[in-house]
Amino acid sequence: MSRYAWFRSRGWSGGVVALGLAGVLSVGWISPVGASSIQGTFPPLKAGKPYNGVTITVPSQAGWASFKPAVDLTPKFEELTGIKVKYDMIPGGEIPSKQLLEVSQRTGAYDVVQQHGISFGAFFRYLQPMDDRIKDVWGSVDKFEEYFFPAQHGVKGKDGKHYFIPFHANVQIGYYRRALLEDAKEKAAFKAKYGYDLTPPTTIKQVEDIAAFFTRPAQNMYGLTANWGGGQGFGAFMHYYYAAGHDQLDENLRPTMKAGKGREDAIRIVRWMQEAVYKQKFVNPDSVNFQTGQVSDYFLSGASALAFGWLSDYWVFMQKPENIKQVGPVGAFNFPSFTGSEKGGYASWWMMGIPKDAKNPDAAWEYIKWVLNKSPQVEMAAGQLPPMKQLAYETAVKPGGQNPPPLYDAFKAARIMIQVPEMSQQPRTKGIELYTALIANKLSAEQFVDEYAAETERTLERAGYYKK
Amino acid sequence: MTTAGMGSRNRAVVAVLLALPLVYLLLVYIYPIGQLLYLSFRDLEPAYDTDEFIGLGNFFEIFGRSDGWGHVLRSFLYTGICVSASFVLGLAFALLTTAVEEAFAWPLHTALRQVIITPMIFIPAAAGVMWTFAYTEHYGWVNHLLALLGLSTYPWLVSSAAFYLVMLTDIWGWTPFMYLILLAGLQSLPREPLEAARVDGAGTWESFWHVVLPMLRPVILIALTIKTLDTYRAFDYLWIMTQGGPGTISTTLTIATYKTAFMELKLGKASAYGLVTMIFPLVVVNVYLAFAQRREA
Repeated sequence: MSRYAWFRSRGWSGGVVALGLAGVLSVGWISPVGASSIQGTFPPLKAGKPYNGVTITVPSQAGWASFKPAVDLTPKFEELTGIKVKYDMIPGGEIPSKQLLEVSQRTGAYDVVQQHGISFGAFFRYLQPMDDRIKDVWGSVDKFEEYFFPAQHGVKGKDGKHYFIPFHANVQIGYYRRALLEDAKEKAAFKAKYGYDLTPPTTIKQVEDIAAFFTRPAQNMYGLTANWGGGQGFGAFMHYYYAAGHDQLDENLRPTMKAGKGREDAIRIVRWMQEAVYKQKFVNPDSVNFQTGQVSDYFLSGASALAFGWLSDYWVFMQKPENIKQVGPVGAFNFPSFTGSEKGGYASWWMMGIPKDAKNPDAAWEYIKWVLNKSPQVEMAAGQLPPMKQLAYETAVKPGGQNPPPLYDAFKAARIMIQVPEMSQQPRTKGIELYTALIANKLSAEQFVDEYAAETERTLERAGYYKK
Repeated sequence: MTTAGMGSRNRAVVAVLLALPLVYLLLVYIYPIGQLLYLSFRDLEPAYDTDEFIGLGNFFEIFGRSDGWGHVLRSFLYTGICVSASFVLGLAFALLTTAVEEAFAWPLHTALRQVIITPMIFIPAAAGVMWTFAYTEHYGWVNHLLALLGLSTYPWLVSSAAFYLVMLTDIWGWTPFMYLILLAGLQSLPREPLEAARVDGAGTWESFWHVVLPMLRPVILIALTIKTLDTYRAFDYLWIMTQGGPGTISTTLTIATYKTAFMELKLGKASAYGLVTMIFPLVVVNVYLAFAQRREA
């Protein structure tokens, strides 16, 4: 599918004009707001400060740069609504467990929960359904779903209701050094060697060729550096697998990696990752222990030509000349699919919900709506993509946007990772454990795929998803 | 004075004073251990609202399917190697410091002591990050050193060597602790038996083996007991440097307990892990107490 064809395929007349019209005609930023709402807000905040003096407790991830603008702008929300916000900053690794323990023990500690697309499933039974609130704002659930990227379609309880509202989207993409890929001498040498032009890669074969071409041990340079360490590496594998056109589970909730094309593609992908480090050696060895921050540092040190990871977090940083002295201008590309599929990769999708035992659910809803407003979403967009299609388009594709267009391209069809709650903990923990052995070259591609599929099936079988 | 001789008011004061530690014991030791025992027989998973009695099910899962024996063996291996190495190095450094102190009038031994205890000033979490960095392929000084020697470089924490490299960090971090205890022990030994042995013609080795070491035994026993208990429940270096990986290569009982409780959110199974983890320290403490009692007798 060509660039932005996704919009055309949805029946729009195409491109930017249609998006602009859509923004005006649908419930956009400039849609009229009822008299009982604060002027200029959408989703609309209630006027008249009905919750004045109420304090809500909101958990969030400690040190999370993408959410910091929202935290910094919170006094503005407090001024608008009279609601006080108390943040509980939780270390990243404890985000699911801390909040789950609080809501499952019904402590009433939080008025909002904040969860990621890999861990939200376990929360459904402890949250309030949002459908009525959604209808009040968007008119209907369909319009609400249309307002956001398709990733939100996967965020529903077994009863088909929405329990979460998204506020942050992201996807893994590639970066390249423009000075290298656009250098006339390099282009000529590349063409002479591979028989085609040196451009940002659009196929896996091109990734391999470009990475191999720029792997120059004498200059201490590798072709590609990637976030292939631990949990992020497992996420990278999932991105490649999703982008190859697979979901984790089929319509019968059986793991797609168990057999057939799914197994074949999964094996191909992880073997490619292993061989890129240990056999073809165009990925730097440290990548097997890298998170995105280290990828960014390594790339900016000039030690690789391409990079892969959650790199949009660093896009604004990498546009400043003082930060790219060693590498020159940086370009972005949508990392190619292993199969050429255009189904999209694995979406990072952060959401908020309201616990059943929340002390101030209505004030919490005002806060959630505020986070979806243009401000703070635009401020937060430097490091993420707004989950609303229109605003995401404005921040990534329209001139002057603070994100690279390939981020939008990569995200528009991206999906969340899990489809049933039970995928949140056990299979993922086991998957990461197996992955770390795989990427350390201690496990074969077949063993990894088969053991992960078996663990997934075992977990879902135990949870009663399969009929005897 | 017996309680029979006390006034009723005094008896009440004594009862309150005795009750306080008992209440403390009950709340802080007995209740949590009882809860641990209770939960270890249950399938408790808040994520799925599951809470049911399953008998020994968690233990069967740990030692059947979940590599439980592997976790136990790795815990023992980690403890055995780290404690032995820290002890030998700590004792060697303590003897060296004592020898330097005796041989030189000027305070060289003070400088030596400062150098040896340097790792103690690092917060374990920070030291873990520092050593993780040291083993990286591109930035780490370990690989730079290997490259200078013409050897191949590698991200060592993503290899079979990872578990042993964490041990090395633990030994580096905890040798000063052993050193300080043993040095204090050495410096408090009476001089007379050693001088008598020398007069009788004992050499350095005989004096050390037959005089110093026996006199130092109570201190060694305490140092080894504390260090064994501490190393057995080690978590910080292991978690920061490898998170139990690659795969389960460096997953000890403590790491397995943490992962089960806070990543898989299986609180029943994690309690069973906790209970299994408690057995060895209880054995160590009882062995120590037996030694101590025998000595007193």
